[in-house]
Amino acid sequence: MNTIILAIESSCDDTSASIIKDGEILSNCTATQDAHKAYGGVVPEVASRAHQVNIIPVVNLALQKAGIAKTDLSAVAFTRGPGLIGSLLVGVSFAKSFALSLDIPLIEVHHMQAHVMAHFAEDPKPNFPFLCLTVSGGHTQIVLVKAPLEMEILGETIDDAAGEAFDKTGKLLGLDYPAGPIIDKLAKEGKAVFDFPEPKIPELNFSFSGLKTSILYFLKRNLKEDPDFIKTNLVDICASVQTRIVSILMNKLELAAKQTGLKEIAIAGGVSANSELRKTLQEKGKELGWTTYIPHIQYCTDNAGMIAVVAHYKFLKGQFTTQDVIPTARYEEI
Amino acid sequence: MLVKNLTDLDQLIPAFIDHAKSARKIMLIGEMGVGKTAFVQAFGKHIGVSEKIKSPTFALINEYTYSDASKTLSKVYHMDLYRLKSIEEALDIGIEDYLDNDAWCFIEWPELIADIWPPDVVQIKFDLLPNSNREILFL
Repeated sequence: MNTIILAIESSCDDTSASIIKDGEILSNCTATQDAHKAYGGVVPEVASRAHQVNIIPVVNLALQKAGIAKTDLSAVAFTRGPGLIGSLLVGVSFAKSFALSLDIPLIEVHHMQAHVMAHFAEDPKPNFPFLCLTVSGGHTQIVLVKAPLEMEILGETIDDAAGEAFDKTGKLLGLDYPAGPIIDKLAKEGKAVFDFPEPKIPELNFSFSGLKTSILYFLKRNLKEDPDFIKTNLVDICASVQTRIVSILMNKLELAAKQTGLKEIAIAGGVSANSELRKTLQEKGKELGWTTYIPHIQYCTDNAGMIAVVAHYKFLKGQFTTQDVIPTARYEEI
Repeated sequence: MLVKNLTDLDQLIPAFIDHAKSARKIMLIGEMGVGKTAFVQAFGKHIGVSEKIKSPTFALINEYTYSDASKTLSKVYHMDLYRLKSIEEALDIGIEDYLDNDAWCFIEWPELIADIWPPDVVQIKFDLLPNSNREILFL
């Protein structure tokens, strides 16, 4: 018998649904991109209410694209946390009712575990144990992945996430939000001529708050002398900031690889779309004999496909959740 | 008050708690990089939050716990409205529920919801001074 799972992700801005059959993803739909084309209508960017509007269309779309009927499903999976409680509630309540009405098991998934397991959505897949640097707008972590559901956080940010460092730099430079992709594009035309300090943070932890402040002071100082400083130097500022963010990430990743002796190295999360990070990872990998893994972009940002992958492994192990489950905003409670 | 470093910030916290303990709803006002999150980190350290307090910009709301004097678990909410575009979006994430309880609630970029601030909020104003110093004012 086939194992077919519907997975739902609603931890932050996007509502997403995915169907996985025997470990192979058949569909991975996100409301902001797909459901609106099919159903029309305007939905606010950030709101739990938006998830309420999106969830039925996006689940229908995922089933339809996969060519799966509701009655074919073996289980329903959902993101339990961490995330925005109002947003999580929508996905959890939906999954519970869906599972109850079809009389099939429920599977809870940890959002950050799913980011790492996104590597198992497609080939090539890393070999265990491996290291994963998860970098997004909300998180920056180095995770030691021992087995599909067995992970240990070796280091993480103590303040801002790497993606936030991009976005807030963008704000200081007058760029649109989210600024990560814009900075990436502008940096290609610039040179890293400005030096921003690398924070001295012990062990494998990260900090990006100090970088933000040093960029702020740097801009203030230069704007005082030249009101057009940003305009004239925009591409070089972008290249300099991006180079520093990437070097902060890579230096810690290299240290983690050295400490653990691992050579299977992966990156995940929305910031892994950054071209400089991808390039540097591959160069570093060549130099140090790493095998590197970067998932396809659709599995890097928040998506239900990665939730489906974790759900598949949990299904095989019989790790199901009872109907009294509640979502949690807190990372440690899962 | 003039704050030159993180130690100065730590020393400010007891006076702040004394000033804000009845209202518990704190509006943090000041430009980016001025130390709003650092202030909440110093508060969390003082009051006994064991987790790392991180920037809430992406998550919008981070939740922490600590044991209060009577050993019951109490909550600290740390919010950032920076990414929101209208008061409707703030209402949609249930902001009124966070403002209407006994928990400590720190809000960065709170100007967006000025219309629904509780009457007894505490405002903290942060200013950048030369040489990386900060001026912090409780209102």
